[in-house]
Amino acid sequence: MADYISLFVKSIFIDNMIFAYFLGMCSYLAVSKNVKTANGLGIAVIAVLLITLPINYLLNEYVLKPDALVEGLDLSFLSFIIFIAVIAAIVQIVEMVVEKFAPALYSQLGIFLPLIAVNCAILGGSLFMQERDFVSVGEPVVYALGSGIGWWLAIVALAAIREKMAYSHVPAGLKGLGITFITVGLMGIAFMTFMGIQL
Amino acid sequence: MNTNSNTYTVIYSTILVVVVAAVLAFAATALKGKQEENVKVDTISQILTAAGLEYNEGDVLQVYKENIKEAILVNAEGQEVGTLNTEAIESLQVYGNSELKAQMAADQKSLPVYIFNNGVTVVPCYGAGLWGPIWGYIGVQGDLTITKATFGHKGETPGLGAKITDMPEVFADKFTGKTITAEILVAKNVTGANDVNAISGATITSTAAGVMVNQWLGFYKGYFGEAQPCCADCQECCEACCAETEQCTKDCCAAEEVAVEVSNN
Amino acid sequence: MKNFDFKETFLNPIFKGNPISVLVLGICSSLAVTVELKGACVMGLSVMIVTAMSSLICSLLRNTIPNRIRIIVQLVVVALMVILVDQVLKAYAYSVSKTLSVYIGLIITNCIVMGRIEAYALGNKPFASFMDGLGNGVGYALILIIVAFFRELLGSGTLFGFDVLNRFGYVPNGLMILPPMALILLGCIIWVQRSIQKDLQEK
Repeated sequence: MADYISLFVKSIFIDNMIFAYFLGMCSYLAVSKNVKTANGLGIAVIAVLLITLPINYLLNEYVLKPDALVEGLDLSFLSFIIFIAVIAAIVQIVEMVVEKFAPALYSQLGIFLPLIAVNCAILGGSLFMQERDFVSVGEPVVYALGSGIGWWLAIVALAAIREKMAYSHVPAGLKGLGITFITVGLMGIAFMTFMGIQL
Repeated sequence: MNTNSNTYTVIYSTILVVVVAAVLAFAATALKGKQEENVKVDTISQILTAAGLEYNEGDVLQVYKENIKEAILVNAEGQEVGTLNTEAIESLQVYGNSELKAQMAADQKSLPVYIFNNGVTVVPCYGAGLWGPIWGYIGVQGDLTITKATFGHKGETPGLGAKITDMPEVFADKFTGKTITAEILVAKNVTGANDVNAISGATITSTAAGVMVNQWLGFYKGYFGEAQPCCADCQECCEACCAETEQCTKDCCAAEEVAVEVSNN
Repeated sequence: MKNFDFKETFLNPIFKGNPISVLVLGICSSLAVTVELKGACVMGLSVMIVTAMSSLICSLLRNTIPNRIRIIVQLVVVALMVILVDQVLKAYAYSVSKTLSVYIGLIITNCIVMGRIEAYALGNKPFASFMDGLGNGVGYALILIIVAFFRELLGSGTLFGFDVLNRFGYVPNGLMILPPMALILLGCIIWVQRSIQKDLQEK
């Protein structure tokens, strides 16, 4: 249990998807102009990570790993293509399910779901999961939840800063994108202080 | 042609999948030998580092072959149960990470020991770090102290846990001189003679490395136990020295110590 | 090949329509590999090959792809190229592929690749698409190399692993190695570029 809590906290703050690994940057920068939409995308990322990571973990464990399916058969070279196919399929299914059963939620999240299929944070989560050799299905679930929350936290925080920054006098060349990059960099440095946490 | 009909879509995707799978399977099979070779060279280069030998990127196998005395497999009691090929450069055998992982769980262990001409014996270790597997190679000399340790990891945090590999001076080098007959304690702010300080900010990875080292040295206890200092006269005399002369003289020991020092430099 | 303007298709993405600094695409997987020049060069080269080749393939297939499974087909083509690059790197440049680890796989979700296929390759002839993909790859690699140049020079005092500044008593600045500095450097590159090309400035 203590391991899970430690993994959870670590994946939110210390190994933050955005600040430590730059994953999901494109949509992070594009959709962080106001807090409300940022919140929607963040929640969608958490949801998709939570669904795809355990599925990809099981696939990796029972199909792709050397000797997993048939003795002597190594399918690990297929992992990229399988992971991305699973993600694309899951995103489609989630989109359809949400549209059917929760139209209100769909109107909020709907536009973000297609964006997520090509969000590096999702594929990155699966690839890190594969690289880190988790031992039970519980670990990828906790890791997915933690890194999803970390991503959500990062995008909401940036959106809040950008809302305020719209009223600031920024040098002409830095306006918009430039200052956003620098802000993210400074936020990253702030997040690095969490590295000192003893777990 | 109607590219939106169902039949077309299904046929199209089937052909696509078959073609892609064929190309990938071909590429994977064609490059497999080369990739495995790379993994082996990587493993051997870590063994050489632990043995304190210099090498360049291109001549890893050559240096290994020239300096290795023998590579054997021992069981938990320390008895030799097999040998690894060190003769032909094309078919050198070493235990990679997957074999080490299998040995950890095995009841009847057969653990690799690499014995080098310079008197250093290298043994591997393998365990779990914070995020994924970590492994290491430990060079041990005749008086059962560590000459050099080197570590590898798969996914530790860059700048923190990754320092066990990237910055040997803050962690791996501190194992040098520790004795393997007692437990090597890795923790925060420890000062004992056989203790190693954990990397600040990466306590979990560091202590995991310590647990791993102790566990694997435990596996080898049977093997190294036999190689205890053998002379009652001088205590410091090493195995090789006694084995050659069958009896211990102070001069022989002195000569051996000098030889060990030279080879370490 | 009428109306094919080499300058427009190939050079435009390198400077004026640079995928990273102007269009903000494909930052995800790239900045973590800019600690050293070597990794950045290999990463840039891999992205160049992947964008150019997958643009070419998608453009060749453009009239046959069923519209409904368009995105999946594109993803499969891109993933195919990425896996090939990954396998070749593992076989011929093992040490580099170890440092790049998962980031090669993340080229699949690099928005530049998908973006160029969707926006250009599906509506243009193969050769033009190939040049467009290549141009975008070069533009991407250029930014990576600039960032990596400063990070390695100031962070480790070396270039391509060779000592440059340390011999003059330079003390490497550990801050440059840390991930956030890549973003701040990129912000500065954008600042420089937009100060020169004033029409890119945002209101």
